[in-house]
Amino acid sequence: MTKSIELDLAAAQVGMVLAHDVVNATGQTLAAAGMVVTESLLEGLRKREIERLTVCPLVDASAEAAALTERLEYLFRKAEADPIRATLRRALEQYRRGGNRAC
Amino acid sequence: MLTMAQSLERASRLPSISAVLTQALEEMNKPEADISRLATLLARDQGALARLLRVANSAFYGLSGHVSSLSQAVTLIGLPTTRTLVTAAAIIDRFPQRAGGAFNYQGFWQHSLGVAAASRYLAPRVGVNPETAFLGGMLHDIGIAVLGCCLEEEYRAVLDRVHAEDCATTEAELTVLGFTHDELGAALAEQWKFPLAIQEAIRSHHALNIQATPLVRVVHVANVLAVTLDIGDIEGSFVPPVDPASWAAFGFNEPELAGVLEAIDIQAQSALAVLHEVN
Repeated sequence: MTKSIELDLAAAQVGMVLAHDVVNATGQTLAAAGMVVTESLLEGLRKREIERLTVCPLVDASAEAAALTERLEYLFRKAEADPIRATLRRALEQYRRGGNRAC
Repeated sequence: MLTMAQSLERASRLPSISAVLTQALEEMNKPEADISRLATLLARDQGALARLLRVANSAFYGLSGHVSSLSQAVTLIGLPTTRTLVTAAAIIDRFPQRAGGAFNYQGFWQHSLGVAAASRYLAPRVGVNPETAFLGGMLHDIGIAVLGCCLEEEYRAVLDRVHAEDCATTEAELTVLGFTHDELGAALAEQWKFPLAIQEAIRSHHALNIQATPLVRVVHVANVLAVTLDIGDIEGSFVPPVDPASWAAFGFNEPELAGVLEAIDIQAQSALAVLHEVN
């Protein structure tokens, strides 16, 4: 399961992917979600006194997919042939595996 | 094992909620916005204010780290939501967090806030006030919090039963205690003078009947969606059966459902900031 991580700018590392837009106090977007963190981006954000970032966790995609399947099996272990819960499970998989988010 | 009345008696040793919460609830029932009263209230509960600011500064509202006052928070997230979050924070703070116990405090409140966020999202679809729905969701399992925080031995026995039988919590409670967290929670909500509609949502969110109120349906389905989204952690939980009439009341069609789950997940993650450490 992917959950974004909020961290101090000082803890951000090159190669991480931004999970949310970075905005300044006036609401102006400084860096968009999905952008890969670089040294120059970190430098720019430091200058603009940004203190916190939300990034995607660094994970192995196939291990994550397997973990998601295992967790779904557990959570839906009593759903059996219930059509409503089958619909919910399909929707959840679509959401979790969906590609239109930064992470 | 204790009777339900004795269990409720234990719960009465929790710090009084009457001062802050009763007033916050009264405020919430007033139609007109009154920020100065809320400010006076919060001056007496700095913990709740700090928690509120954590939410206002969460990524959901996009102004990370720049909201430092109540008035800014109200401007950003609106007065109704502000009042609800203050109430949520005040409720959480009434329950002591003990290290080393069997009760997963963080996991429990994460689940409650997840159900609260889902309830708020679902409410308008069936004509329920979103903030009432949030509180109903927040409190739906309050009986478990009483067991977990005030009745350690009883709570541990219920958990053992859940693990041994892989059964629903309410089923284990009936065997071990002779009453369920739904009944205990509703009794506590009555003692705390929460509105009748909320007492009913707590009592009936697992066992719906044909006359179930819209709020009961909201909390019932919200609970299912929060477990589906794996928000928080109640020991041994599984996606519970869904009452078909309640499900039908929301009129979901399959193509929109992934988007519904995503929207609820995002709102829940923002509400979870209420739980972050308050320094």
